[in-house]
Amino acid sequence: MIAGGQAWRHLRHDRAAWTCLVFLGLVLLASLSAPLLPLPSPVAIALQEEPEAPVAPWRETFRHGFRPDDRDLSWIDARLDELRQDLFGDLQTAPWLGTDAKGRDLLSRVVWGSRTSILAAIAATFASLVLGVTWGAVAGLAGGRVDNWMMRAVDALQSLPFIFLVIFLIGIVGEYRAELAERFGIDREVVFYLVIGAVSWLTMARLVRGQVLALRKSAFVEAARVAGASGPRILLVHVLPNVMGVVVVCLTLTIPSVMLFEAFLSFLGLGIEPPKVSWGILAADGTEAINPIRIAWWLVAAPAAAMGSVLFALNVVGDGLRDALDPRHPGNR
Amino acid sequence: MIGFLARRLVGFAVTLGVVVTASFFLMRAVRGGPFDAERRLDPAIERNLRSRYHLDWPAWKQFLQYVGPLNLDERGAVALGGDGSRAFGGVLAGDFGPSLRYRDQTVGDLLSQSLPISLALGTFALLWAVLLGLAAGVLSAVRRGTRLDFAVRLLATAFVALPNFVVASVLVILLAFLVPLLPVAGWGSWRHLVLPALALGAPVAAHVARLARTGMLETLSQDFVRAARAKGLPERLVILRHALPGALLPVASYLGPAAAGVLTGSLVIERIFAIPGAGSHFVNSALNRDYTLAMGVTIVYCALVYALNSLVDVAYRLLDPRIETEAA
Amino acid sequence: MALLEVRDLSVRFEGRLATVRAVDGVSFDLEEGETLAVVGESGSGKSTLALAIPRLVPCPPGVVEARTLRLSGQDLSRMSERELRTLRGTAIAMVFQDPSASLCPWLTIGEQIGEVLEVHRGASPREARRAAAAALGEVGIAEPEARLDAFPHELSGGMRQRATIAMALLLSPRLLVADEPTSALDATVQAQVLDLLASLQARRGTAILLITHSLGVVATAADRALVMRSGRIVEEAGVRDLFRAPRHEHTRELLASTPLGIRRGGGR
Repeated sequence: MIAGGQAWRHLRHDRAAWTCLVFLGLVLLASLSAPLLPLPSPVAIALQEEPEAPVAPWRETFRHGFRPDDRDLSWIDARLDELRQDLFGDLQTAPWLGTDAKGRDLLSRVVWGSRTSILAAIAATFASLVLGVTWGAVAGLAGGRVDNWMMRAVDALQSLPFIFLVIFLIGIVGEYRAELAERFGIDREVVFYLVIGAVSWLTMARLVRGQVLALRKSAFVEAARVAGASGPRILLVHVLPNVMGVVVVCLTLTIPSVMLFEAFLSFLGLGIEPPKVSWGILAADGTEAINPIRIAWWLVAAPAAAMGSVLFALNVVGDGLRDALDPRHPGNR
Repeated sequence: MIGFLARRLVGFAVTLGVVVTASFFLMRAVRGGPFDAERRLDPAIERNLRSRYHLDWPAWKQFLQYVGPLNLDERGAVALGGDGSRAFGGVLAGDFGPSLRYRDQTVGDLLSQSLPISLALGTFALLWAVLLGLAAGVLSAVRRGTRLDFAVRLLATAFVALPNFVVASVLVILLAFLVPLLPVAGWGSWRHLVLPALALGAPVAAHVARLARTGMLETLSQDFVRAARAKGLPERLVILRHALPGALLPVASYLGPAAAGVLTGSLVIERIFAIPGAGSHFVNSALNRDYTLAMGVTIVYCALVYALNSLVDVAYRLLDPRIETEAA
Repeated sequence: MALLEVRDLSVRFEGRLATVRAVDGVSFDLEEGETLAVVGESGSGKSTLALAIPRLVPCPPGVVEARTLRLSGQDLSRMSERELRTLRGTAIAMVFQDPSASLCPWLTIGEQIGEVLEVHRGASPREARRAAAAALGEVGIAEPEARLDAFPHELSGGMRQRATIAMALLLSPRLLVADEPTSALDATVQAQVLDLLASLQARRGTAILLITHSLGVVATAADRALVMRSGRIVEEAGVRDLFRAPRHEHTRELLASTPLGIRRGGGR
């Protein structure tokens, strides 16, 4: 692994990865500022016979008639929402991506739904960084019997049929919903993110442990120890920077897989519940809308394009980062 | 090799034992039971039902009844063997008991109806995915830097990114509605198999292609490939005989996770295509508290993944003769 | 006419940002049965030269140009890949530096030696096996029949290099290009392998182009030597003269960095 600055310069030269990084940045921005954007409500139902086909933005850009819905918004989202109403009044975008069978605007649902994917990614990143890195580092540094047992625990957890456990856990949570909300103030959604975090730190622990173990035995840490460097100093100056590479590489693999997992669970009806939106729910809506009489193709295409482009971009950035951090491939693969 | 397989078997038995025990007691410890979801049952009927399935027994006794080939009768005395009166056989004897949800059907019946369907789908998906992925990955490495290589890399990255249910919907729109070649859903003929197997295998094929490409590039840069060329071997022989195993190794070690991925993916794919496979039992049994069915499906799925993993390990050892001596 | 005639051979690697000239206008002759050493530091272009003669430099990124590149009068530089393939292994053979890397890990020794015969001579697997066993015996491997079914990792380093030499000399090539054939081996094994090469050469009259960084190896094994630096030949001399009266500054530097015994004892 080579130093961060050099890797960053490397990445700047990888045009594909850079483009994708910029794209992801824009998606993140749009997602965070969703209440500020002049989008129709993602949940307000307008009963109609058929979903409305997409309208090209250059044909019809805006429509009037936005009315705020009565969802619970966080404090900051509520402020953004007020700001939006000051700025745009009752203007809202025309259905650029079409609407679904209940008349809800698809573009708005895709943008709001991205928040679920991002939250899942944050949950997984957090669990990986806090639990995974600590677990792996402690096991690698302690070595011997402690290491052995800690890694056995990871092995055991990894050999479990996770899907079943998750389904089961979420089933249980369903039963104890009222108590959880009353006593701990957490709802099913929080539990869902906890579950996602819980399944995503194992690979990180394993990778970090391997790297720490290799570093502990490496010549330069040995040299630092002989030169009289203290334990914490060795950890901070020599071990940590060299573990960063593995951590970044692991995150680039974890984040897309967790987003897929979220969509998968929501698709099965085990994740986010309506009226909340998630790309998995949108995809499920899309498959239900497939019927031979009239194909509302946009109901399939919109979530597919959203998920496909973001996950594709994440993978390209991940590949680019891996190349940039790997001294053996001088960025020409 | 035998010792290795034996070790794997023991590990598997321990894992399965823990999973079965933990989930058995957990499922009974939490609130709610298999008869909740339906409309309120008459208390007498519910008591009857519970007693029929021995749900009124203490949990430890239910557990022994469920797992062991020992047969406990009403008074709790231990009797050996099966005399028509017993409700539960033992898992150890291959009997998963009756389903608590689908009355009059045993878990064994349900599985023997649905599992072959899921197996056919999974096998077919895995087969085409591995073969095509391998061919594409190897070809793309051999023709590195060409347009073909670029196309393979682009497609592989795209299909790694796309969830299989999205691929499924797009395929249905394209190949069942726009160009009505194949049936939209259902089960019965090979034509019903094509779309779901394509969707299910797509991410696997993409992963395999990427792994095979990297493995092949790595191997092609090795000294022994240059040495093989220096011997004047035709390129076909250099690639197929000397280099290919290097591309197969990473693919082989991915087959275990791939099988698990196909299994989980089939939960969704079977739902989209209305295929009467074991996937729906998997989800519904856990949500409906159909204890016995849930356990049965879990055990069978675990065993499948385990068997495939062992097979992969054996293949790995056959492919790379260096492994055995290093392990010994 | 010399066995191998090389005039103005150049190899360059064209990267995206820069072009590297690994071999730059090299000319020399190699006679039948002679051993010509190419000495130089790492990065001097000697290994690229070794690969360029049987035209094994990967192109792209490599570009090989030569005014003349002839083996017994046949022009290698104008041959198609197919024609070259029939020469490799039969007229030109190679031995590489590290036998543990240059033997295929998943094929047995017997398969790897035998396939040369099967490809070039159309031998049946059985004939190939018999010939492979005989070849292993000739390079001094005990119980050759049993070794045929061994995988490379099951042999010692010295045995592996003997096996690659057996494989290279199987079809009695006129030219053997040996790229650092002893550098990856222990000192005692090095001497044995050099002896083996010399005795096989004496028996068959094979010419050897011996690439090495070690003047010790040059002193023991070569008749003549080329000294390379930055892709060019800076000195060409008989081994005796090279050690007694090095003409080029770089040769003197190389000699100065070599242990005393070899400097005095030069030549064989």
